[in-house]
Amino acid sequence: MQQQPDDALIVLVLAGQQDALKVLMYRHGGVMLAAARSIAPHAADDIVQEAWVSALGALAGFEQRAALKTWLVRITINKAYSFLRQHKQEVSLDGLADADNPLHDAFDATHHWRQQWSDWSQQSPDELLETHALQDCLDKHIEKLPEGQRLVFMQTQLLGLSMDEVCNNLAVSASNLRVLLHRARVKLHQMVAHYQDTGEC
Amino acid sequence: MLTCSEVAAQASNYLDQDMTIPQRAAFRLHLMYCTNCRRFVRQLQLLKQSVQLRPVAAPADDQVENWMQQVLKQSGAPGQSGK
Repeated sequence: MQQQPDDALIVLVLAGQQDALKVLMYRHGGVMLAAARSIAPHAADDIVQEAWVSALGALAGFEQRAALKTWLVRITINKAYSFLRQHKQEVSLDGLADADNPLHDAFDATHHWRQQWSDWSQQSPDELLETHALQDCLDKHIEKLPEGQRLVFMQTQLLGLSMDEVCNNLAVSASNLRVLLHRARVKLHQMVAHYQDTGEC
Repeated sequence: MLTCSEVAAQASNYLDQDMTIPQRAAFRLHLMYCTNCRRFVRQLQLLKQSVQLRPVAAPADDQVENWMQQVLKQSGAPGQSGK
């Protein structure tokens, strides 16, 4: 059953096969947890649980216009935002101030780089992924990004949501979203470059 | 001619193909003669690709068991175990 595609599993779930539901939970639960953690890290598990309850209730009406994963992530994100509203918390979108621009002091008066970037030993995405200490360091720095940059980065890059969808989720304009995403990437690049030069996180 | 600071500011637009053809041409022209910007853009691209390829960890067994129990309890369970 583990090999079956999502649409076949949906039919089985609707026919009452609990094992099929469990396969879907293993397959998509990780990305749902990541989505919930990006918004409400301390309640992620409960949020995903609620998202499954809602998803199961609405599964018969799921029209497969979007991929199941996208649909489940959307439900999870909606649940996470209602959790924040219930607990009177707000998502802050900081990361747009000048001080949050990692390039604000990167150039001299003639607009040339102050810093020379060295070559990295890893030349492919896979080689970067295989450098586990670097990946741990990356996680740490993603956590430390200003909230707006972190949310935009996680939702577009780690969860693979479209720019439109993230604008909608975060109530942010497309131009601000681009600024936040770019700043997050540049900040993480600086961190990786530092790691490559010094071996330190 | 673009400056290094302009190239750095536009690098994500370049990687996300969110540029007009003339903007793209000006950007690439700068990269042709500027090693530091070329390296910066290449590394930013490498980072972008590796983040998108990162596998997401599967949920733990007890997490899935817990979701199953709660979901079946709260949703009035669609049927029995399919064994």
